[in-house]
Parts: sequence; C-alpha cells; structure tokens
Amino acid sequence: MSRVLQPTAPTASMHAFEIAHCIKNGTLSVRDSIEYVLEKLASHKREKTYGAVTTVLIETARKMVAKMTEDIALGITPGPLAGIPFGVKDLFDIAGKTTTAGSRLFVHNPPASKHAHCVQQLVNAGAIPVATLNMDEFAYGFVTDNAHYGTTHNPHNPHHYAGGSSGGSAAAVAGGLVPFSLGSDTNGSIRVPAALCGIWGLRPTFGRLSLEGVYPFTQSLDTIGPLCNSLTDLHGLYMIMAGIHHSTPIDLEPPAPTNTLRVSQLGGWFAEDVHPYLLQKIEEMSSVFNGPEKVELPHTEEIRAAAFIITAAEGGTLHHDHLRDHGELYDPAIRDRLAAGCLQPASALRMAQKIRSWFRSTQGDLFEHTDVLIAPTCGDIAPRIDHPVVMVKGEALPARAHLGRYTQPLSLGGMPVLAAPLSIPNIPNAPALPLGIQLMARPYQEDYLFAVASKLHHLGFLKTFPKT
Amino acid sequence: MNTWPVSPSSSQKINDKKASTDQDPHAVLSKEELQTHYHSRLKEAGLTPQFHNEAILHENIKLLQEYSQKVNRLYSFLKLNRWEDQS
Repeated sequence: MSRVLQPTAPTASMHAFEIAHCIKNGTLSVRDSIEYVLEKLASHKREKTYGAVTTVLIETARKMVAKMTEDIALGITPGPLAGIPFGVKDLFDIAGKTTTAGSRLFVHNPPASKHAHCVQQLVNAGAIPVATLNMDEFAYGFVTDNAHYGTTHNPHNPHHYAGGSSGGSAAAVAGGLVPFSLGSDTNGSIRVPAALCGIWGLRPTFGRLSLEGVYPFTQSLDTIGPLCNSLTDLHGLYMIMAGIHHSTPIDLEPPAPTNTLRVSQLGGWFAEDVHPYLLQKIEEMSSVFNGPEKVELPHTEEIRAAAFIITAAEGGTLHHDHLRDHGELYDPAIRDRLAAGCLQPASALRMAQKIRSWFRSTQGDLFEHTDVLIAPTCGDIAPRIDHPVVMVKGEALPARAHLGRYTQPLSLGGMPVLAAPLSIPNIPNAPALPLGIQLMARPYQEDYLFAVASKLHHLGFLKTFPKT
Repeated sequence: MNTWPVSPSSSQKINDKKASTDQDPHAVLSKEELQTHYHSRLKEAGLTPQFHNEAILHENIKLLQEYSQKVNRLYSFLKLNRWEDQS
C-alpha cells in the first residue's frame, strides 16, 4: 500500500484499498465506512455534493453492509475491496434501481433485475455501491450540464465545469464523496473529467471490459473504466474489473517503475493550443525515458472527424424511435445533436468506418519506435460554467462538443489510455485548477501504461490535485 | 517516425473549407425556408419536426458537414475505396 492508516473512523482522503485494509485489520467497521459516506452523499446542500449525485442507494448499501458484517463475524474473509463504497455513472444497472442514463425518458422504466456485469464483479470483491452519479444526457457531451439533473460543478472551484460526460463520477471522487467511481468513455468521457478534476482514470482497450448492463451510446466506440484518487487504486480496480486480480492487495499494486520502456511525446495536433505549463511538463516527462522525443499521428484532424461522424450516426440511430415518439422529453441541448446524426448521409458514415478500420490496422506504425505516448488530455483548465468554450487557434468553440479534441481521435484507435493528474506546485502563477495527461499504448498493453505512470508518479510529475 | 502518407497541405485544407462555405446550400436560407427545409428532411427520416429547433439542428448539421468533408478528404487521399483490411 502507498500509505498505511490506522483510523477508527473513515476520512474523506482515504484511498479505496486503504479502506479495505482498515476493514480487514479491524480498525474500521464496514458500517462506519458506509454510513459516513451515505451521510455525506445525502446532503441537500449542493455545494457539498457538487451536483454530482442523482440517487443515494441507502437501502442497497445497508443490506450489503448487514450481510458483510455477518460474514466477517462468521470468519469469512471479505474480498480485496471489502467495505469500499463506490458510485456509478447513472448508465450502469444497479439491481432494484431504474437506470436513467441521465434522461427523463427512462424514469418510469422498471428497475434493473441485476447489476451490470462490472458492478457485480466489484460487489463480488466486497465493494458496496452507494450512489448513482450525474452525466450529460445519454453521455453525449463533455461538460455534465444536464437539463433534468443539473450541472455538476468542479469540486476545486464551483464556477467551473467538472467535465463530462462522466462528470458526476469525477466530481464525487475529487470532492471526497466516494473513494472511486465508474464511468464510461466513448470519446473521452472518463479522461476529460478526470483531467479537469485532477484525478486518475482509465479507458481500457476497446472490448477489454464487458458492457453488459451498461446503457450504450456509440457501441463501436464505448468503453467503461474506473476513476479514483490514486494510481494504486486505479491498477487494482482495473485488475478486478478485468477479472485478472489475485486475492492479496500486494498483487494489485501497479507494476514497478520501468527504465526499459520507450516513451515519447505525441506531437502535432496534440501540442497545439496547449497550456504552456502542461506542454513543458509533457516534454520533461518524455525526456526521462528512451525513445524518440516526439511522434506524430498523421491525419489527426480527419481521424477525429471520423469519430465525430460515427458517434453522431450511431447515437442518432440508437435514439431514432425515442426521438420520434418522445422527442419532448430530451434535453434540448442533446435532442438536435441526435437528430442531426439521423440526417447524415450513409456515405459519410461508411467512409468514417473505413477510416476507423484503416486506423486500427495501421496504428502499430505509431508505436514502431516507442511503447508509450504522452499527450495532454485537455488543452487547459476546466472552462467556466458562465463561459462554456474552449479556445482553438484563437477561436472560441463550444466546450460541450470540443473539450475532447485530444481524446476523441485516440478513441477511434481502440487503444488503452490512462488519464493522470499533473502535479501542480503551490507557487505564484501556477495553474489554478487541475491539468492532466493521457498515456497510451498498443491495444492490450495496459501494463505499459501503469509502469510508465508509476515512474512518473515516483518522479513527482503526477499527483492527485489536492482538495482544499 | 512512422511511414504513413502525409496529410494534404494546410493551404489545401483552407481552400477546401472556403469552398465548403461557399457551397453551403443553406447559407442564405431565411428562417422560414430553413424551417420548411428541415421539416421536410426530418419527416423523410421518420422523425417528428415539432420536437426540433431548426436553428440548433442547422448548427449541428453544418458541423457534421464540415467533419464529413474532412472524412471525405482523407478517404480519397488514402484511396480507401480500394483498401482492404489485411489485419
């Protein structure tokens, strides 16, 4: 474990595996761990929950606490996530609760009959779901500004967005409401809010984690993953979600820092319109390792456009019948984006799909001389809620669609991407809010990402943004 | 560095963008004409026009058209109509 605490009561700053450790050694009870979190989540004061929470799962959580307490009393060893509370973006099925996907459209649907596959895996390991969390409606956006469930605010400054579409998942973790959460990432929806809230997130290789019980958005790009406050937690949670964990916490530790991997900066598109401090740190990080200083992804602009077209077409098609019959129930900011997707010519989608096939089959060239690439996650700190734009080549573009300009092209490749928070010193003129990087590797090489992140963390480049 | 072909030049991109703006068939439509145009297109697509805001829809369509042109450009540049995935 990175830290060893001996608390008699939980604290907001505890990492997931620290809670499990304390529960296992008897210094913290499951009941105390969960009740402490339920009380925080149930606060009606918006400034305490950042607009991140849509439902508190009091009954579900208390039932699980009772069962786990009984098991522990009987001498049954709890799993590696014993008594750890977690939240889920409101598109993961939770047994007994209706999954809304951030929409009013589904509020009268019957409750889910079982947990989503990944939620069940976490529950099997001892974790306890305590809340569903806010999102852009149907995960279509990068800001978590939802007409029905409100805007999620950045825990580090409420005048700024938390990012999206898994903004509730990121804000709940960054604000100390839960030690970890689940989000989905189609075009950057885990990575963008993780960066803007100063925490860790993972978009695994496309297809690596099951999406059973997760409401889809763009099925040919959708992935799911964890968001949390430490690299150790991120690795352990990924191992458990991927079904490759061992039973002891030490096996869940990230791989040892490496000196053998080649690491390079992803240049070109990914070095344009980037905060100077972030760009400088990316260059410094790249210089620590062997490998070419910079690698470029040719045609990035067009690759991103292909992801945009596929997203619009698949999203629009998925919602076509609901739009036709219940269009009035949609968030106005989403309704016409989806309708536009339905009106696209089929030829545009076909060409975009062909570009995706070409990109996936040739992306090995990108890693011919390097193993891991570093790029910014977003170009700047979180946009202000009263001025929701990102600046690109001097032009103000809507944040809802363009915050993911560095994440979206990578989604089309299906490669794994780890989002990590940049360590920001407490000095004058330092960025006032979090900035983050993305580390990416060939498909199924998540271990490379963890090894490089571990080294950068040990060298002081990466650190969870402190909650004031 | 990898061996992929290089992008079309920046100046070519700028010219393409200008051309696309010049050719936007909706650029000079009045509000009423826009309404009629999208009313008809939404109906053709099996959607319900009264649920939609033509001005917002138009903005989204323009963005998708812009991105379609980028996709079209790369598709032609790489000759993907003749490309088969060998992986």
